[in-house]
Amino acid sequence: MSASGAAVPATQHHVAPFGKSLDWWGFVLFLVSEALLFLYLITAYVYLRWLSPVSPPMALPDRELTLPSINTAILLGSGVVAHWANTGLDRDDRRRLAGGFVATIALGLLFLAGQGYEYTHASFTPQNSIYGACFFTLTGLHGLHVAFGAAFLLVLLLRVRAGAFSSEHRFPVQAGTLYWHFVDAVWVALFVLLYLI
Amino acid sequence: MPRRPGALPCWLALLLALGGASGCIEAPAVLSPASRGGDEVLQLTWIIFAIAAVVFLIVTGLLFYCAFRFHAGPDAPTPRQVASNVPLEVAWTVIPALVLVAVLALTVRVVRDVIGPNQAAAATMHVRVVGHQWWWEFQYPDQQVTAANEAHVPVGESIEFQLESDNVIHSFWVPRLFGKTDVIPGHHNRIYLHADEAGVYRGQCAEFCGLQHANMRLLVVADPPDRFAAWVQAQKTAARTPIGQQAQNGQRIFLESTCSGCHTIQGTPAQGKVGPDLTHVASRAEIAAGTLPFSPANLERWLIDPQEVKPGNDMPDLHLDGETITALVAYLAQLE
Amino acid sequence: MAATTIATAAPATQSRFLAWVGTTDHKRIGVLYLCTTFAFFLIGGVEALLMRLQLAVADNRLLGPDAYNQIFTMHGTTMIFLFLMPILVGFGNYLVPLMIGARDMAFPRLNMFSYWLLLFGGLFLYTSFLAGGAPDVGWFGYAPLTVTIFSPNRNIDFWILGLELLGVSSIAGSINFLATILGLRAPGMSAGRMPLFVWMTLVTAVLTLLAMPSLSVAAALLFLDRHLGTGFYSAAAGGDPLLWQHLFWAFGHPEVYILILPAFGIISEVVPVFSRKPLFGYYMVAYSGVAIGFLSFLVWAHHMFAVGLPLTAQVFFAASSMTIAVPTAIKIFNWIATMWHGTLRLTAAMHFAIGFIGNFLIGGLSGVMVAVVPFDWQATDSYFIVAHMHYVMFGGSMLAVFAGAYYWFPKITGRRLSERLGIVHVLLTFVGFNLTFFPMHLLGLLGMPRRVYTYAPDPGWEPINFAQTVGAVILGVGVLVFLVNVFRSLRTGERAGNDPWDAWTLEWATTSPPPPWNFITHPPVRSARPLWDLKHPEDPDWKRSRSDSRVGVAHGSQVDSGQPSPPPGPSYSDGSPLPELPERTYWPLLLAAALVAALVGVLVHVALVAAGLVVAGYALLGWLLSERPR
Repeated sequence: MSASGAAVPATQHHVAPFGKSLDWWGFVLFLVSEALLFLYLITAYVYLRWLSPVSPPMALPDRELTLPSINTAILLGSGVVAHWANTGLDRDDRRRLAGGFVATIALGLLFLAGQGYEYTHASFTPQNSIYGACFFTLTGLHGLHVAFGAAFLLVLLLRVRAGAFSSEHRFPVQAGTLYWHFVDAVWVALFVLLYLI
Repeated sequence: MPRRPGALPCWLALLLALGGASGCIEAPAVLSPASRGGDEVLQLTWIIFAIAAVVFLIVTGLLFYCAFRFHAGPDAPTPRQVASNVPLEVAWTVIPALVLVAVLALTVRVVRDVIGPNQAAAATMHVRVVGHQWWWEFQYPDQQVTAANEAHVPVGESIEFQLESDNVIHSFWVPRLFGKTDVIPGHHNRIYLHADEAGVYRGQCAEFCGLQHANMRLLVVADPPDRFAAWVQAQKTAARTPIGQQAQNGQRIFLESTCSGCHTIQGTPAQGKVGPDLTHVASRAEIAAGTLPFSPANLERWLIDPQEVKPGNDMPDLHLDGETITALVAYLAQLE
Repeated sequence: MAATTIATAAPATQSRFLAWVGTTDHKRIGVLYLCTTFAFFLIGGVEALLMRLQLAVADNRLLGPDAYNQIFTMHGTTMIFLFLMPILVGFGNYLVPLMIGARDMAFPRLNMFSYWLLLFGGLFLYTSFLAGGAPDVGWFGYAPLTVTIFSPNRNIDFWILGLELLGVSSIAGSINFLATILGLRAPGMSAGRMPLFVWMTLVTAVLTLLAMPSLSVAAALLFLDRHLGTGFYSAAAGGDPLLWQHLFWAFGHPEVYILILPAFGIISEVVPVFSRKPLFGYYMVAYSGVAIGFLSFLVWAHHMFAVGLPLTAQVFFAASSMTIAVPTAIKIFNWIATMWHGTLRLTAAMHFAIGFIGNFLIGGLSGVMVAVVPFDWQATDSYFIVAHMHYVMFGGSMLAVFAGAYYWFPKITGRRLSERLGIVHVLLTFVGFNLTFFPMHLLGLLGMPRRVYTYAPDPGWEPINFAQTVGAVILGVGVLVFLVNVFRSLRTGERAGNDPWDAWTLEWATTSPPPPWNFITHPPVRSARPLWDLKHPEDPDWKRSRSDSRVGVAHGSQVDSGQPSPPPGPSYSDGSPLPELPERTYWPLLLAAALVAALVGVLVHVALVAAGLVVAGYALLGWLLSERPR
């Protein structure tokens, strides 16, 4: 070996950029790819609504805001609850975590029920209106993510009940909560773009 | 072993290709424009080609030089480990950037010149082009003429071509007259062609549009004003009455069978809109959108089995017998 | 190198086949990628030869329009999605962990999952030939040609679903590369000491992550249009055919940089070693790669100059496209400066690297020409563009792939490729490639559009086309020579030691091929050339440069992995245990197979979709809840 320094034993280094674990990075990057799916879909909607030279411009149906607003409140509320549940794990408060997740899942399912009602009572379909096509695709993809998120939290819930996770080992719970917040953030964008403007 | 960065074989290839091709062709269409806008674009083309050629020669020259000059055996000493030279790196960043800025400036100028806002105002005539799978329809609303695959225009005037499609995307490209513009359903693209010289200009669809994209050619014929007027006059008139027994038979067969369901012959009950207007089919240089030159023999070949000539096109094999075909050909060949 | 001997480890007597099927070792996965993608290259090459045979003479009847259209579509789709993109991933898979001194990728099971999706996605696409016809709309399938009215068969659905699978494969891979490069570098390997190939792979991973979803969205909307009656791409329904083009090229343009940046990385490794000088302007080469990555998102509409965009937009995209030429030019000058006053060893790898510079240059110059909008109005969709794209993809990326093959074959297999056959391969490639593709510039100027299954004899296109076909055959012979070289060398090639080229990056600090755990030890990293520093203690890089030369943690905090100590087993001769080996796992295979089954179900029966999704859920749970292979 040369004198310029001892050889370095090759272990698997887990140097974590910005103090976050590799698992965290991997999951965040996964969320980035999901965010981009929504971003490109939103871009398609924006293009068809405002930028395409094809005439006539996108016809908007009458958009009733009461139910969607309530639904938005439910979903955002579920995000608050999820955050509350997650921080419970800081103090190893499994009951808070489990209870919080139960509430989050319930609110999420309530949101989906609200969506289902909206879908069945819409004055437009994906086929007869280009706005409809965009609306159902965007909210539909979002709804699938909510459903997946609920399933994710359910699996976590069952594992919490079985004694897994602690303030030391909490990455999956962090991931689930992060995913739920992501779903919330996407909804805010959709609510603004599809209902408000 | 001396190495080649691809320069030598590529020049050989070019020479070979040019040598082989030179006996058979005119100058490349893109490099021999016959239109006002085309000349400016050509100038720009030569400039960028010259820049590219100079850069290519410099870089491959350097590569060759390095390969010969610094090639050495395994016993050669280790060279000085020089890895940076800031002034040099700045230079070879700034110089290409400046060259490109100049190219961009030229580009903007040419774009503004050839596609200025005055284009629409300067156009003296409109032709509505409808791209079909796989043929071109030309409607002259002002002159009340409908043609197919061969458009006549007056020399020396700016003609607005309005590009429409109700099916897939096509692209309208007549290289000697100008660059291409796509024909997109729902969009109303326009292209302005201004032929400086009388002549026949070949074009071809340049956006893959399905099975017979390869056989969707067109001709733009630039006529002196009197010839153009004569063409318009001839195209406006209804179809000639057939002369001779065969031709009359042919007309009768045409009108009584499925032909009239797809094709129009003005002055007869045949008003089909699916296929090209055949009122003056014999006045055209080609048939089936440039798939075959016009001649009675080719008409016959087409009628025997259109699918053999242009597989996948919308005209089915009608299994016509020899007599029917002869009569139809006699009729159609008279429709000038 | 390390003189430590290893107490003999009893080899596992399980099936070798299963060892490969269940592997998570990045080197095995890399080899799987390299072999699978090269097989797809051969298929794509056969498709190309068929096309060239059909086009050799005018009015040819060898292939009818239907067959030709399927073949040219599959040629493009195969070469880009099943060959070029994933073979560079294959190189990255094999080399990146070695180059950064890591033991494996960050997520080994995800790595294998990506591979299975590539294999299954490719097979799925090719099944279309047997199931009524392959896609026949071109590799970028413009709507509305792809909607049901104009393409009623299922071939487009094969294309859509295949692309979705491949998209997941790529995105998963990009996450893996990003986490690996960000988090697993050896102590002392700051960003400024990473090999250029790692830099380029990093930028490529970012591009893949950001651009791939656009294709996924575009294809999904097409699927909805085809099967749910939506009208995203239909003007009559309020949609717009151009939406497809914008979404596709928003992916497609970054994609072409995904195809070239790793190639730049390969060249940046090969040229310095065979010039016996460090890469000139390391930082500029690295940063210009980042700049290219960033700019690649701003140029997409230069594929759409003929669609009738507003003039301001066209000028903007012309400007951005010309701008992206600057960082590319920088690299070319840096490579030449590396060679300047070096001591050149003209091995086959170096020939290909130098050939890359010359041929890619032609592609880059024709690229600048088509950034000039009015010229592009003539050149786009003609054979000029076919020439341009092949010069950058073959004259560029493919030559870099060959350079990398000759350079790293000894590391991967422990044997050297024959240099004599290599030079024959070089000559056949340079002659064949240029003869095939250079005349296409002229053909485009003559007015020949692309994607035509035949052409008429009068414009004089025939002699040029014929010459091109001859060139294609020569090129094919070159590939055969390469294959012969590979197969012969695998069995009887000269044995290579750790470092047959006297190179400088960490992959050469271990055996050829490396052991499953990659390194027992490796030299300290105090510069971008750790082995140079080791071999030249009198003139190490870190003394010459002004940058921080401390050996130590590069950035961030060292996080204790918190794992239990490895179980007793094979050990060093001094008794210290070897690092753990990756275990086998079949969850990635099961998940990939289940997803493919679900997609097949989309075409066949909804019950299969449901079954596939259920199994996929089970596989996902099994994967996440099982022990990691660390």
